[in-house]
Amino acid sequence: MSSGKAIRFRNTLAFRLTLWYAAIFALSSILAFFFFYVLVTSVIREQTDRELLDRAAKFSTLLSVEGIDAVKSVAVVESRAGGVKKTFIRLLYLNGRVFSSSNMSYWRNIGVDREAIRQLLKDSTPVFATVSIPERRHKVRICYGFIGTDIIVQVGQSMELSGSFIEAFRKIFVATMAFLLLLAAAIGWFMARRALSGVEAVTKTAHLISQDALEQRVPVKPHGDEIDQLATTFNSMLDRIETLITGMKEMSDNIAHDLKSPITRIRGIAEITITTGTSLPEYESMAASIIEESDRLLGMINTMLVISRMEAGLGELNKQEMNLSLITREACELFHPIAEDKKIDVNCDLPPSLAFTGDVGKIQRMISNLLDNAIKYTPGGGRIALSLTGNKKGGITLSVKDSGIGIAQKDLPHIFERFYRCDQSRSEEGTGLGLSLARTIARAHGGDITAESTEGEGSTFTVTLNL
Amino acid sequence: MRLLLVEDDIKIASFIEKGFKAAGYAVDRAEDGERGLDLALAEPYDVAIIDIMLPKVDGLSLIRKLRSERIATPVIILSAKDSVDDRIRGLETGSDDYLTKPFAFSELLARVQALIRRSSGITEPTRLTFSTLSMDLITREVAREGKGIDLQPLEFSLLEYLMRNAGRVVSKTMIMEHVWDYNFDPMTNVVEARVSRLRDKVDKGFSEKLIHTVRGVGYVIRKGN
Repeated sequence: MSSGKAIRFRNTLAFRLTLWYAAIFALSSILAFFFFYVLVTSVIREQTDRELLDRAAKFSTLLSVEGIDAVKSVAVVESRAGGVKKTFIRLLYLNGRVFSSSNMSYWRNIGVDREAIRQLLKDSTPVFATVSIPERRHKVRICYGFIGTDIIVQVGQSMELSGSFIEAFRKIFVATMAFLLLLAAAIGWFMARRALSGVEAVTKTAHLISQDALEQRVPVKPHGDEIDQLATTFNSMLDRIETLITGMKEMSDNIAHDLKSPITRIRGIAEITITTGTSLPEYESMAASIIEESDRLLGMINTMLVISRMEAGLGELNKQEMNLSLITREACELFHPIAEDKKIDVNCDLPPSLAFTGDVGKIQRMISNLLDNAIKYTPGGGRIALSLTGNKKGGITLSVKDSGIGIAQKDLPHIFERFYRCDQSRSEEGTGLGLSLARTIARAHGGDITAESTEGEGSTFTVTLNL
Repeated sequence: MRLLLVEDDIKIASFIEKGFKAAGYAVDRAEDGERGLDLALAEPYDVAIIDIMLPKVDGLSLIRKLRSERIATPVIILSAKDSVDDRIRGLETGSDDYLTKPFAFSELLARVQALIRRSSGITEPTRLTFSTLSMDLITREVAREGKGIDLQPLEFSLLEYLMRNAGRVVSKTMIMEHVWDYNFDPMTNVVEARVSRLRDKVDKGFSEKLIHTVRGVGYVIRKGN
C-alpha cells in the first residue's frame, strides 16, 4: 500500500485476494473442462462401439445367408475399403485360433486376448477392449462377438477420431486457460483494489493523525457497505479521541492558569508570615488561610476531575431511584439562610413528588450549583423562582429564574465553558466551574442545560432531563 | 487507646501521629506493609490506619492477611484513589472505613473514634449534655440552663452532630455529609449561615459561648470563650 510503512507486495491483502480469485477461477475452469472432456470422449467411444457392433452383426447375417467363405472375402474387402490402417477383422474358432483375417501387416502387434474370449464364452455378449500399441499415436478399440454358433469375430478400429479430438482439446484448453487466468488475475486485482480503496483511505488518515493532524477524518462514501461502516466507526472514534485530547489540553491550560493562583496565595501568605510575622495570632491566621486556600484548590481539582471523567464517559454514575421534588426542596432549604441573609426571596414551585433515576449526589450538586449561582448574581431584595415540572413522557424540566444582573449577550454562549468568567463576575468568589459541572451532570443524565438572559433584568437557567 | 499507623509518607505519618497523640492515643508507626504486619500480629491494637500504596506488602494484602489471622482490629484505609470501585474493593477486603487523601485531620479523628465506639459496642445515648446545654434525642427537646430552645429540624440535626462530637472540631464537609447528606462542599458558605443561626438560638444571651468557629477547619462545641 502506498502509505507509511510500505507493506511487502506479497503480504498485501489485494495480492492475496487476487491470488485466491485466480486460483478459484482456474480450478473451476479445469473442472468444467474435465467434465466436458469425459462427456465428449464417452460419446465418441459409444459411437465407435456401435460401429463395431454393426459390423459384427453384418458378418453374422452374412454367415447365416451366404456361408463362411463369403464372410472371409467380405472381411478382406471391407477392411481394405475402410483403410487397412484403420480397421481390421479376424475370424476365430471358439478356442481362439485365427482361421481368417483381413490384411494384418499393420496390426501385427495385436493378438487375441484369451481373457476376452473366455468372458465372451461365459456371458455370450460382445466384449470390448481398448488396446494401445507401442509407438502408435492412437489407441485401438476392439470388439469380440459371435457371428455363428462356433465362430468369433474380432473387429478392431483405430481411435483416430478420439485422438485428434483430444489433441485439439488440449490446445484449446492451454490457450483458453492461459487467457482465463490472466483475465481472472486482472479482474481479481481490480476488484480487490476497488474494495480495499476505503481501507487505504482509513490507513492514510490514521497515518496523518499519528503525525498530529487530529482534525483529519476519513471520507465516507454513500454506499453504506462494510468499508463505509468502518470509516464511520473510525470517524466517530476520532471524534471521541479529539474530544478527550482537546479536553486534556484545555485542562492542562486551566491548571496552569487557574490553579496556580491559589498556590501563589498560599505561598505568599506563608512567606510573608514567616518573614514578618511576630505574634501567634498572625501564625494562626496564616494556618487558617492556608487551609481555606487548600480546600478551595482541592475543591477545584476534584470538580475538574469529575467534569473530565464524566465528559470522557468514565464518570461512574451511581444511579438510583429518587424523588426529585424532595431533592430540590432540600437544596432550597440548604440555601435558604444565605438567601435570607441577602434578603432574596426564593420561591420553589415543586410538584408533591417526581420520580427520577440518576446519581443523587450529582443531581444535588447540579441543583446547588444553579441555586448558588442565582444567589451570587442576584442583588439584595431580588427574587429567585425555581420550578420543577414533569411531563407525561417522563421528561423533566427544572428552571431557575433570577432577577439578577444578567449575562451579556457576548458571554452567554460561553458561560458553560470551564473557567469562563464574565467580567462583572470576576469580583465574586467562585471556581468558574459551577455551571460547567452543572451542564456535564445534565448531559450525563441524558439531558442538557440552557441559559437565557437579559442584562440588568436577570437570567433563567433551564435543565431538561430524560430527553 | 492504641493505634497502629502504617503509612510510608513520613510527613503524613508524622502529622497523623502528632494529631492522635494530642488526642490521647498511643501511636505505633510502620513505614512498610511488612513491618505493619509484624506489629499488628504482635500487639493488640484498638484501631489501625493503613495506607493502600505501601512498599513490600500493599495495604489491601496486609488487611487480608490480618483478617485471615483472625485479627479483628477495626481498620481505616487511607488512599489517594477515590473511585467508587476502589472504595468497594477496600471495604470488601475487610477494612471498616475508607478515607481519601487529602483529608481533614478532624475527619480522620472522628472516623477513628466512631470505629472504636462501634467495635467496643457502646450503646447509643438517648440524651446529650454539654455544660449547661442538653438535648433529648427522643422527645427532641433542647434546653440551656433549663430554658427550652426551639429548633428547626435541620438545626436540631446540626446541634446533635456538634454535640456528639463535643470537644472535637468538625469540618464543613463532615457537617454537609452528616446533616444534609451532601457528599461535597458547595463552596458557598451554606454551613456558616446555618451555624450562625444556631448560635443565635443557643449562645445568645449567655455569657459562656459553646459553639465556636475554628477558622479554616470547622466548628466545635467546647467550653470557654
